[in-house]
Amino acid sequence: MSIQSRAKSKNISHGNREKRSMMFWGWMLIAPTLIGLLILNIIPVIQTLIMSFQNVSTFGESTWVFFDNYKRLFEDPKFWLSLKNTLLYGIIQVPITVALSTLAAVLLNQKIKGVEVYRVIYFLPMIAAPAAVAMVWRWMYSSDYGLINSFLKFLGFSGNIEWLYNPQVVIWSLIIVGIWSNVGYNMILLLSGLQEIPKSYYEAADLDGAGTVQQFFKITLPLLTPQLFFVLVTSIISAFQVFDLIFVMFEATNPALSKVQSLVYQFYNETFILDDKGYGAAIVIILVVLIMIVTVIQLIGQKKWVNYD
Amino acid sequence: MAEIKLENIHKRYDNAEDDAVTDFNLEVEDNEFIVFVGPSGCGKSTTLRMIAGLEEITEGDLYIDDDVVNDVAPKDRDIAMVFQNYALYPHMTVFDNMAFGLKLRKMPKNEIKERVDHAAEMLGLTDLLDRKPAALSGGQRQRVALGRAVVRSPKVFLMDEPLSNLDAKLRVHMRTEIAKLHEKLETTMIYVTHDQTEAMTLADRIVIMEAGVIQQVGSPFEVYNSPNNAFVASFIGSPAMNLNEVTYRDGRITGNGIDLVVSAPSKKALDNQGYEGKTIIFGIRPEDIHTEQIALDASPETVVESTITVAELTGAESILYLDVDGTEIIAVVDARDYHETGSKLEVAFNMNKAHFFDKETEHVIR
Amino acid sequence: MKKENWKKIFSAFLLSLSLFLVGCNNGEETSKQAEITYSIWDPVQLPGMQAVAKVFNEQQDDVHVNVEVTPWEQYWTKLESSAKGGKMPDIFWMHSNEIAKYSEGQVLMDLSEVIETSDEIDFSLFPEELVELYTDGDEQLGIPKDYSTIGLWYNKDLFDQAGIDYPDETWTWDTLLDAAIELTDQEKGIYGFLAPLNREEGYHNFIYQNGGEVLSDDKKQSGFRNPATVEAVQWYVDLSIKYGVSPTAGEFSDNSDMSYFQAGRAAMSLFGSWMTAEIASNENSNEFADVAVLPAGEERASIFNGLANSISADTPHPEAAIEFLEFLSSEEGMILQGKEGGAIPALKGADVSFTEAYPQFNTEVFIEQMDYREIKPYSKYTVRWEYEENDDLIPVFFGDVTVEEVSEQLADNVERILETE
Repeated sequence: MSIQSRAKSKNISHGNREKRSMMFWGWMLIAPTLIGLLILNIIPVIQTLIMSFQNVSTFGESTWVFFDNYKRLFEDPKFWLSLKNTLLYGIIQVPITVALSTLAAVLLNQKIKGVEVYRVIYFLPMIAAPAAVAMVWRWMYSSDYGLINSFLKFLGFSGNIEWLYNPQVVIWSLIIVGIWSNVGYNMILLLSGLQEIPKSYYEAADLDGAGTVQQFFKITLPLLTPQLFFVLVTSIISAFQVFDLIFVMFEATNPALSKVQSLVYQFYNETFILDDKGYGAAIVIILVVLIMIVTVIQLIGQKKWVNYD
Repeated sequence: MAEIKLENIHKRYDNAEDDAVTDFNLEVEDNEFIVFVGPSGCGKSTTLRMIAGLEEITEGDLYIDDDVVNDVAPKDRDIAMVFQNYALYPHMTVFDNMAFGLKLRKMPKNEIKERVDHAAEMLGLTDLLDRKPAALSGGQRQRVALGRAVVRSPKVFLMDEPLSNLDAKLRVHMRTEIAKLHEKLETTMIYVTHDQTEAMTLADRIVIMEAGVIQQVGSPFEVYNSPNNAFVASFIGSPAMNLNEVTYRDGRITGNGIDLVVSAPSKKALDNQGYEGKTIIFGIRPEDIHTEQIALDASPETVVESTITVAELTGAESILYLDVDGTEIIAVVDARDYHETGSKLEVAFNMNKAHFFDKETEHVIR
Repeated sequence: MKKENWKKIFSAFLLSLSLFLVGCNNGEETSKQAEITYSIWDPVQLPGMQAVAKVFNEQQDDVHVNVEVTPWEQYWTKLESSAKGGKMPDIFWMHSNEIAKYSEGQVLMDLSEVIETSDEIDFSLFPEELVELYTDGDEQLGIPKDYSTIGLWYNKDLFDQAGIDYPDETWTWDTLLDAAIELTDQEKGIYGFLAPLNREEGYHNFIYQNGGEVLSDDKKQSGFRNPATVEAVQWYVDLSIKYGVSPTAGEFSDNSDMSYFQAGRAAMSLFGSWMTAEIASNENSNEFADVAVLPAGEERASIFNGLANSISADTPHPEAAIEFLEFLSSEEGMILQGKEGGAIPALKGADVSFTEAYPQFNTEVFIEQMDYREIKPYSKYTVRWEYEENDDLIPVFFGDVTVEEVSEQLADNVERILETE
């Protein structure tokens, strides 16, 4: 072979070996995460979907019941109750949380003394475990001994609010804790969005004659829409899955439980307490479908109101 | 149209040791085109922003038409500003961008439309009114930024390096657009740039700044031909003036490979101000160094031997980097006068155009 | 060339690592002692179980028992997954709610032979309802470990202050109600009798005392079609709704019945024998509390239940587990258990050791009430119909409806579950 052609063939085979080597290492390095994802996420999702079409027996063979679980679900008043509670919680908690987070982000975007400390304080609820948060709130909500009622009494407000067992009040007690725990995280996300807005826009607006409030609505908000969109989507997805707050704050024997019971709570009850795993799986699948529908709606609406520059 | 007066203006930032802008004094006439020029960090943008009201004035007074406006809010100073990065609201159309300020002032809709359309026409934006900034080219965005300022019919136009983000060709084009705009609007314009060419071509008067201090204020002709100090001399003009240290003795300057006789007026100034025997800075612009035979014959006592290290042909001219006995001298000659690198060349210095500066103070010696 | 070497070294490393780990596991098997795990869920009973294990371990050379506590909330999920994974604890507690599922799954060892051949276990001395509870056809899947009955606990101080005699065996429903009304002090927040929405420690007792039932004997019908049942439950509900001698269901979700009692805000309450340790542990209730038999309705009745010890069908140490089980079920083991006061040993005769643990209380009443015991109602899907019953009674305990009004629907819902069994 001539020198040139020998060199060429060496390059080709060398190239192939390199490619194979790169493939090998590529797969090797993502293998841990990929395997974890497969085993802990993807396969269980498929299993759940399958279980929703079965009557699951614990130690033996499960029997196929196809759509019976779903039919039963749609006739189950408890399911509709859980659905209603979940939707109510999501639709009320999320907008309030996002609005407060926006406000907090704007306030904490200024160069005031100790602003870093304030930011940390607002973010702290995220660090605490949800169960711990719920336990502390449960104690605060106690009608006879709780901090909140004591404080209200101190302000002169008479009468004891039954935060955790008055059927009219309980959903609000839950929403309040939901807002408190989530404002910090959303605030940080929105804060980073705010800091991306170049100062010159505000200067131009100053010269154009816009006041602080006008600048907020005409410049800050429109330019914040990408982050707002993200925060809204993730908050709704998370809110629809509310469980641990309910589980810790409300006993299974709490008579007002039906007014806060969420879809995930019902799933937990059916699957682990009542041991009807097929039925529970069906509930979860419905929840997944619900979240997907809502997210798709949001994604479509995105074009109308989100400004990406 | 307005007169602007800056009286003893100082700007010092919190926790800073020195002033960012020191003792700035300037009177701007009605309808003048003033350019603040200087290297990065010289304080030109800061001064502009103080005029706009976007920076607080630490000391001194700012007058717009005989009113002290130090504490007046930017929106009430009747000023419009064009930013370096245009600051066009990305979520609004071109029309809305230009109309924004007017809407805030509660101007009636038809009047807004009239003004915006008029400005759009003036700047060639009529077809772009429905687009968002993201769909515009750099030059178009720049014109929208100008348009936004134009619709306001302000007393003063402020421009902060508006052409810096454009490519070279566009920059040249927009320069003339701005000049034409100034003609048309007959409004006072204060323009900031680091590019001395822009300053020279646009300004009625140039304010050259360095480290927060005004170096010289004057017309382009003045600052080019009569620089007050070595900084101005080297900053204005491209390629920069050749500056070298020499010793002056009895009408001759020597040193760094140079041995030349100074002109009579120069001699007079140097002698009168006691520079005999002292080291001074000798400045000569590249275009005042000649290679034509006529020049060489006319003043043989100003001829110097040199070797060409680099010859740059720019098309119309030739920039020659000359080695004169170890010192680098730059000369700009006609392109037809082609010379090859490495060849020897005799050049004549036009000593009538020579500038001399004090070595310590760098002030001009006249 | 370099990359090839890398791969070889890396793979070699992985291989040797896995061998090493496998080797580690194998090492344990070859040691002399058989280590078995005894899994329980009640931390209160841990000292008792550990006492039994300790004595057993000392007597033995080749078996070592480790007692493991997993709280009730996680116990069953853990047990279930361990069963599916084939790695159940060797010996563990079994409960009446779950026995049906585990027997169907065939993961429990059949102990009938063990019982026949063992001379340590006298099966006749265990309550027959418990034996039956843990039987599946011919197979015996658990040996009773303890039993519990319900007692009427009262606050001696509150009775003294009101000048009322302590409850005794003469008490009837009426006596109870009258005393409760006298002892209730709204201003001070003191309640005469705690009546939460609770079955085993609550209204189920009163149902049987009134001659009613929760499930029919054949476990095909709900007892809520029986007017005696309805009447009993209504009387119980009225205690909070009508007479106000008990906090309402809502208030109980804020503070449990135990916290009311221990805080000295309740004159009387029903608690199972297994709560004795809890009452003793609180220094206040330890002082002022004591227990009496339940009042009489038409009849006397107390709900009783019991746990069993079961062995995993797949245990790698069957002989060791059986040996420990025999010890647990023997008189010696039972007495050791009872002395710690966690629960009443299921073995007749040994059960008295429980009372010795609490000289300050009349815990003999728990054993006395075995004379008129009623097994806690159970079926294959106990948890599911209990849930229905609970759910349907919630509005009743809120005072929105009467028991009568929901009884039909409740019975239907319960029977719907029973049908699936």
